[in-house]
Amino acid sequence: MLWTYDKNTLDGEITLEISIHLHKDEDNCSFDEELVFDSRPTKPFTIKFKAYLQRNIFGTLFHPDEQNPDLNSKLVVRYVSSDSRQRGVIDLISSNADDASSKFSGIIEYDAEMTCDPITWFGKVNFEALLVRTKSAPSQDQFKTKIHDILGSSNTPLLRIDKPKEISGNYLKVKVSPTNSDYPNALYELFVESSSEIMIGLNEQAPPILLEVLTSDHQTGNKAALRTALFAPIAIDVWEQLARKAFTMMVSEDRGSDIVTIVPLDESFYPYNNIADKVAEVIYRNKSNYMTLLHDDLECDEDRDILINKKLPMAVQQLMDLTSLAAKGAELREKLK
Amino acid sequence: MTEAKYYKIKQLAVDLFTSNGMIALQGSPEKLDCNFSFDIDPISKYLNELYQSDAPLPESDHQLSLKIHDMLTDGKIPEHFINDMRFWQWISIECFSEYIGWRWQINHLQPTANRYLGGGGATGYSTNSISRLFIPAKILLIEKNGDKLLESFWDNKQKEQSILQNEQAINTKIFVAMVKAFQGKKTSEIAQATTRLSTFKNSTCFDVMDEDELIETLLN
Repeated sequence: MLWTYDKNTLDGEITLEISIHLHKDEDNCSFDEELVFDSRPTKPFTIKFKAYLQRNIFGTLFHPDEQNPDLNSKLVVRYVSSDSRQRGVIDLISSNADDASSKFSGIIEYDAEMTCDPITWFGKVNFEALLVRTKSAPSQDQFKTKIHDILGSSNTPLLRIDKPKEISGNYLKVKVSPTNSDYPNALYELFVESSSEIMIGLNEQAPPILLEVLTSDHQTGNKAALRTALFAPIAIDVWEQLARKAFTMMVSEDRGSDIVTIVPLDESFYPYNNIADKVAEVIYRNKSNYMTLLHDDLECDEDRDILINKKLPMAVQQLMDLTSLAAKGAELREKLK
Repeated sequence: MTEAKYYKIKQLAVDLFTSNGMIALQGSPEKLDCNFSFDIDPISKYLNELYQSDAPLPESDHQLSLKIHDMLTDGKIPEHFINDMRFWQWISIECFSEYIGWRWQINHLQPTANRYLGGGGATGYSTNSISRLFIPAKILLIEKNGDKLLESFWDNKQKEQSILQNEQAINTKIFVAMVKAFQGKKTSEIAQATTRLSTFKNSTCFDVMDEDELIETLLN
């Protein structure tokens, strides 16, 4: 993989890029641009890091009285793989800090590398470059002055050693089922039958014409458009129900303390892990650290409330493209004229 | 001796129980050899005695942590299986299902898969009933006064939750520092310190601290 860095497109004060270098004898393994391996590597591979730091960051992060601020901090790359129980930091070493080119461009480049033996690594690995204080300074308002303070952070590249399981096409199944006696007027009920099948049970007492439309298997034409439009709010509600359940599974509150622990869902929680992943990707606008942002929101009561009651209902509409689905039904009006 | 195995594919939660709540994997998942074996007999005898006793369930954790550790290290468990949930799923379901049902009071009215399967992230190794016993022993027993540290780890339920489930404590150095800092501390003090670690995780880089600095940070 080639470095993609271009100083004209550098969008943060600290930018981290990673490149993967497979073992020379690794035959049947490759990875895509998103750093997802198509199959698990079998031999140790090297991850090379390149970080870019805008020199002017020192002027904003350190008090003007502080001498040689670049010597009072260091750039490290932090790796976290919860699935593999591996976490640590590696120092990034500057390759051009004293060069004229760096002084002219205003950008300092750093390098580091680590070796991963796939026998001890699983799932995904998050990386982040952090600018960390190595020396305390006298306390100053609006400046971080304590040793080990994080002064700045980079983008967060994600490496997936194991490819995430895709949601299958026939994910939501629909069938007519007995009426729920507690809610005889409800149109449908959600059943999670197995890890690979979620079923929507339509109330058998619903008007036959409605059941006929909702269970029709037309692929095109007016009937298909009508079914799609009528089904859209049901599908959206189902996604919302499943996402709420996924979020509930992710929050573990210890009794007797204020500690909320976030439980990342791996594939043993399928399909809830994929549902949380897809919804988070929409809510956090495709940022690479969208799952971290979801965890942060779930951790705080207030943010969790906003997430579930404000962001989630909008995100599922976006995910299902409700406007387009409903428009298909509205277009039928013209045909009925 | 029991030949250790692991599931080729990680098992899924909703496939673990039959409709009447009995533990049974749907189908026959493919198992592969781990190429090591262990002697389960001493633990089986200990568990049979335990099932007859009236002692509170969590009181068995410390002794079982030592025994599971000894069983697997005597069997020379390869390092890479320690962080492979597929092995912990296999040993939980195929060797310790009776213990897990007893320890967590799992029955047809309360079929909880996670204690057999674990889950994602740091919490997953704390949720799986056997890895939660082995991993603290593996980390702590190589430390100076490791026996005492392990004993103190299990003397308070709050410690196990606060440390083994903590994402920062995936870093072994932070794990050990937390155990040392929490020795002899009250539940409320442990909870406060853990909350502090969580509160400052985005503003302080605990991963670069040495052990003394970590302990000082946790206690102040």
